[in-house]
Amino acid sequence: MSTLEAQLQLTRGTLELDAAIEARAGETVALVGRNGAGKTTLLLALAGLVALERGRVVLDGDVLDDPSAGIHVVTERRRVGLLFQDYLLFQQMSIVENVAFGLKVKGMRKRDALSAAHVWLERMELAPFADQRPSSLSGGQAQRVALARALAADPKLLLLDEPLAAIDAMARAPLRRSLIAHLDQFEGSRIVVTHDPVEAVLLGDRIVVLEDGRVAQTGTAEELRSRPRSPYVADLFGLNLWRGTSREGLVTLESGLELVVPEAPAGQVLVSVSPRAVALHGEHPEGSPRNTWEGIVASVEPDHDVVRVRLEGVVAVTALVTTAAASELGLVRGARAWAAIKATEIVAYPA
Amino acid sequence: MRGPRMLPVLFAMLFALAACGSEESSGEEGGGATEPSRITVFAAASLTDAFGEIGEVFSEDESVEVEFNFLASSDLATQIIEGAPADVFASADQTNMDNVVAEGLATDPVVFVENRLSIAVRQGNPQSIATLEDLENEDLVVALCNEECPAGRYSLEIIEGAGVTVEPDSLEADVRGVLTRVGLGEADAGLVYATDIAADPEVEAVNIPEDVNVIATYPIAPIEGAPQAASDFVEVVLSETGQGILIDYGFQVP
Amino acid sequence: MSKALIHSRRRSAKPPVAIAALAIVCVLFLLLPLVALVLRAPWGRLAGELAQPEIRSALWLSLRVSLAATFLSLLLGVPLAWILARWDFPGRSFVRGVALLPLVLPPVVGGVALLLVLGRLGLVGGLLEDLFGMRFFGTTAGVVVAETFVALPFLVLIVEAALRALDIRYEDAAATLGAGAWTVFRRVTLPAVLPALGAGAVLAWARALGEFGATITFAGNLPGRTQTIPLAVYVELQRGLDGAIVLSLVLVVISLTVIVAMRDRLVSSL
Repeated sequence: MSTLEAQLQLTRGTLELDAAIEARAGETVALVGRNGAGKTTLLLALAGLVALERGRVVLDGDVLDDPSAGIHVVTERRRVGLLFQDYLLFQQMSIVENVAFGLKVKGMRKRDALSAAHVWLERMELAPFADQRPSSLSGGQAQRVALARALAADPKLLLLDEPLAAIDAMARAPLRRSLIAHLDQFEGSRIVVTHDPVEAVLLGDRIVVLEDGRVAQTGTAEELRSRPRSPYVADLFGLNLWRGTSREGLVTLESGLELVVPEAPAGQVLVSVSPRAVALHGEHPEGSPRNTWEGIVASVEPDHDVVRVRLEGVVAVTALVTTAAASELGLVRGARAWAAIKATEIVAYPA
Repeated sequence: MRGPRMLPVLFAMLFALAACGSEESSGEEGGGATEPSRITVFAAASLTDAFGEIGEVFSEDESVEVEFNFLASSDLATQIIEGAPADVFASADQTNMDNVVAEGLATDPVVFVENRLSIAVRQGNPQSIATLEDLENEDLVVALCNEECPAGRYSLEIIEGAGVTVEPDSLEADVRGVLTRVGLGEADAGLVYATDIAADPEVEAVNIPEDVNVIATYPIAPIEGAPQAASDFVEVVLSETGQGILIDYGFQVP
Repeated sequence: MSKALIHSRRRSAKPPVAIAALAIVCVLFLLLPLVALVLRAPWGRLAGELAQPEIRSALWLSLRVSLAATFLSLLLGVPLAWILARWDFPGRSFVRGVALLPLVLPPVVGGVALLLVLGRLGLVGGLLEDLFGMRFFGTTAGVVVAETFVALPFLVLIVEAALRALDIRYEDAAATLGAGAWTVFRRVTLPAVLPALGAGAVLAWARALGEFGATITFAGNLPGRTQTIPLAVYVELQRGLDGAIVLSLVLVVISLTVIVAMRDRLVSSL
């Protein structure tokens, strides 16, 4: 089974990477993070293209990298496939020759390699383009060729660096579906780097969040969504996230705002609230409202039949309301509004 | 800088360059009217050392600088015919001088010295070469002057006259070239003027028997239109002082 | 990909007057000597001169030797270019300087230096002669050595530049597909620099073809064995201009043909 267990520590320029990552056979791990977080560097290190300073990379029981033991298996012997962000198809070769490359390198006869490559191209529905040059392909087609090329070489671990980043928005969804289908057929383990949360959720069985070279959080999409541990992860799922101290059901946020959260554990907590749970009012709500505060509308983003409203006040909060509600309340930039959250909709968990 | 303003700068630069060039050429006029401070002597390569000394003597006496151009006589003749600024021509053979005279560029050449040829070998004669026949050995690397230069023609005369077949490995442009080859060790032997061997410590001579050797006669003449100083130079060459110097360097007096 | 960003306007725009004027001066400076050659050529005797055996042997020798020198330059120059472009070792700048030295060295000086090394009494030459009876002076091999010496730097210069300009990630991609260093070089790097290789080879060949100083100093001058066209011109000059001009024209025609045949490919691959 091609299980990957890796601990990677290295410095590259201003980036200090110190992360551990695992992937099991048949599993797709989505690696997310901001630009510069170290995602690509991590992939390069796994492929052996960047040297480790400390750590250990074990794939399928074989030690690929262990600086302390003086072990460094060269890239060409690692059986690690890498799909680069700009595909890097060999321009001087035809499409089918590109796909056959990994096979010919292993010593397969030219004829056999080419016919195997043709099979891959058919799987990608690119057979008609076999003898053309890479420069004649569209972005989506090139991506599929690059994938076929990497898969044809029979890797144990497949790394994909932002596979859909270069695809224009219209083509993305169908391409994503076909990518998922092909990845599912691949028996080894896979790591997909992406900055798109939708992609991360759809592609990844598990998500690893990299921030400033360190793993901030890992888990399934559900786990991350229900308990985000950093602003970046909260942003990924469009959640509100605050820090505070909890005592007997009262959470005092860093900003000073007090929230009533009966179920909150004592001590330092993270507080997560879905935008949908934030109600907006034109004026102070009636009754004895708790978890209410005033703010000024900072931005209004229409999104199909809902509107994402950012309210700035003692804390900044993002609320999701229907378009109808938004116009009824007169929610425009600079307008005043009140936010109210039901205690039951607030999730608090240890920080 | 924009277009119009660049042009004056460009012209200034061109003028400066031209001015530098013209400094060199003052004093080389072959006009004849005013006495120049310098004359140019085109002389066969084998005369390099001897004429160098004669030139020094001449300059001291007449306070006229002498500039030399030492090359194979054939090269010199071609240059003179094509208009090179020579004031005196001293050739290593009659043929080249005749060519220059035929073009009307010189008159009444005078033979001022004779030379003989010799086989040049490296100091110590490592290949133990003793006769012209030894040069037939294919393993030996032999350098000769090419046919166009007098020494080359003389060499062929000698070789044919002796009934020997020599296959040269290189045909040098002038006699000094042959000497250099032998001195460097690239060639085992070469045919050069006896005077050249005397001047070079790296080589020694193997004599050629008188009956097959040639006598090279060297004519000298001022070039048409050259200043008086040119004729003066020829006189010095022909004088006792000049002849004495030439003898010192191994030439023979006619 | 960046070609799409170049505005077509740049190619059809008329050049400013000052630039055009200087360019015209440049062309005249280079063209007039050629014109003089053509005008002064003895057209009537051309066929006769060209038929002479010495001329034909010089031509044949020149072509053979220049091609051999080009081949040698490729064989030795490409690996050096690769090392200079890819491997950062102490003294790299110095090595590059040495590789490019023949470009600035007067060819005769190069010939002298070669004599000191490969001459019969030279550092290595002496050994070569004692052990193998090998000698360069007066041999065609000597001409090849001299021409390679002056032609190599062109190749190294152009190929190193091309290798540096390559996106090294293609080679990384090949490595992830299982290709070892030699395979990567053969199937990814080399095909990518092929245009530059061609341009470098053509320049090296042209340089070798025209070489005079190093050849005559190192290999000597003998018709059929070491007398290449430039040497033949020099010798002809001692007889008079006519033969020299005919030979010069032959060389000019050959060189011009090659350069014009390559058209833009020569410059665009540099």
